[in-house]
Amino acid sequence: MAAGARRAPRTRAVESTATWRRSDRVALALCWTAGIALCAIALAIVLFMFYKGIETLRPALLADRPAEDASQREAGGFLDPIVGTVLLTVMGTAIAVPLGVATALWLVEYGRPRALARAVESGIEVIAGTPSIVLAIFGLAFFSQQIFSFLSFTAEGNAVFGRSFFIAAMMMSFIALPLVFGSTREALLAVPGHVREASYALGKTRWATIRRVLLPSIRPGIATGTALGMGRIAGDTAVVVILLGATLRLDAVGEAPIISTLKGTGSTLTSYVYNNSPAGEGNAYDKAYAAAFVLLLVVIALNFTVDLIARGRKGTRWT
Amino acid sequence: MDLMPPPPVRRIVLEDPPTVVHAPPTRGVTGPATAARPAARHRPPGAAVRERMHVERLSVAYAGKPAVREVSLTIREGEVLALIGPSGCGKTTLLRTLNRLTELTPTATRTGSLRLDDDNVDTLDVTELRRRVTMVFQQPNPFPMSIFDNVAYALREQARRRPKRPELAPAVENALQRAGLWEEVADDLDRPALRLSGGQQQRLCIARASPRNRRSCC
Repeated sequence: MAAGARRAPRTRAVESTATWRRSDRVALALCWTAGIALCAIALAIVLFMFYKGIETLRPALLADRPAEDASQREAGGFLDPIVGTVLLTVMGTAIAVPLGVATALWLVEYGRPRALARAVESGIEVIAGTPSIVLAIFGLAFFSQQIFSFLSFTAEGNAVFGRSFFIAAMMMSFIALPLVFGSTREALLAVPGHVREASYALGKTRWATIRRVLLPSIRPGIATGTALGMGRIAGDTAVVVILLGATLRLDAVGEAPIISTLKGTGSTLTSYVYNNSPAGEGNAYDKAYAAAFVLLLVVIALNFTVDLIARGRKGTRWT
Repeated sequence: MDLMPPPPVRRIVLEDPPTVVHAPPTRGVTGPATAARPAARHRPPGAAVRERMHVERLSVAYAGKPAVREVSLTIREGEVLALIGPSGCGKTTLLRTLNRLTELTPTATRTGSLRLDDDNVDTLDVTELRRRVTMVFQQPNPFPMSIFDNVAYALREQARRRPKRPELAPAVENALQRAGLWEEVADDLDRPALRLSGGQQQRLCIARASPRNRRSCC
């Protein structure tokens, strides 16, 4: 186009806020400030942990087991807490996902009698609202009984310890369960009723409809809930301190190869951070920062996965 | 403040006696047709028209509010029967009642008798009934699986043994051809059905509803 050529006058497609009423402009400014402030806080946390992490994290920390004595200042890394975090997250999720999905399926697809459905719904709300430390102390009282002695270490005089990966994973699953349940239910409610009826109209049973039509449609919803729940389990400290023993090393019970570890106690990154922070006994602040950085990376990665899943399948929905 | 007058409404008189237009005897749209018996689609001239479904004094109400009142009609083999009426007059409810889909609505109540080939539909197993009388919905609703699987889903019986793909392929092709979709999708049957356009989706739903010995109503 030649220089100086006349251009058609453009009208702006977006209206200018200068034409807004004062109340509108004030409200916009307030919301805008709140948004920016939250971004700044999130950025500050991530940048601070990044700085501390880069400064303190050494490859050896990831590969070494924690030192045997209480002080972590001299030697030791956090291999065991990483293994503990992975074990606990996988086990807790493995319990929570089938339970949460099954409950949501029953509630949305059957949901009769109404009174029971409402009771289940409020039951899950209560679990969702219970602080994890309350869940933990309840779990300790519950699983310290004699009949659950097969789940943990038994001391002399037959006292059941009530602390092990099995027990912690079971109570952890209650932390993830409401998230899995919630996102599964939302996904199920988003499937139009006529899609189910189309399957029934072909002479399919309810179970065939659930398995072949509904479960494939709600897979992104289940995945979102699962990833959110994993993030919550990986980030919880109370259950670990009370129900996993928070022993820095994995302390196996018995001889059986995997069962012995799962019956034993251990720690996760969260309890490791707590132990080595100025509030704990480890006295190795640098290692606390390094472990916190690793934990933050794990949780950010999980949240990112949630975003990917939730955004992924566009244009494959019903109208 | 001046209020706009309501727009003029054209009322359509509904009290006229029902009009019945018989289809030419050799044309059937949802007649029995399979890959194995393609000739069965066209009825031999002069053959008696079989009556398949009898609806007698059928009434349906939702939570006590009547939606269909005292409808009686006979549905013949291979005929195209159109139900015409204004919105909300119960056309869909009547269709849904034919294969007991209204039972999925907890508030719906039904009176009157429904017979399919001299069986009372209430005595039939409901999945068996719906295998014989199916329905295509107003909105296209393909299942979240491939085009092939959408049609095959209807073909697979609830048997312990799942038929393999080569066994089902001829029936799937036949169903897609009769719905006029085959040419457009033949090159890639494994595409997700929800990626099809709206019209293609609806033709897929018709194909899905009409394989083998099924009767369908849209």
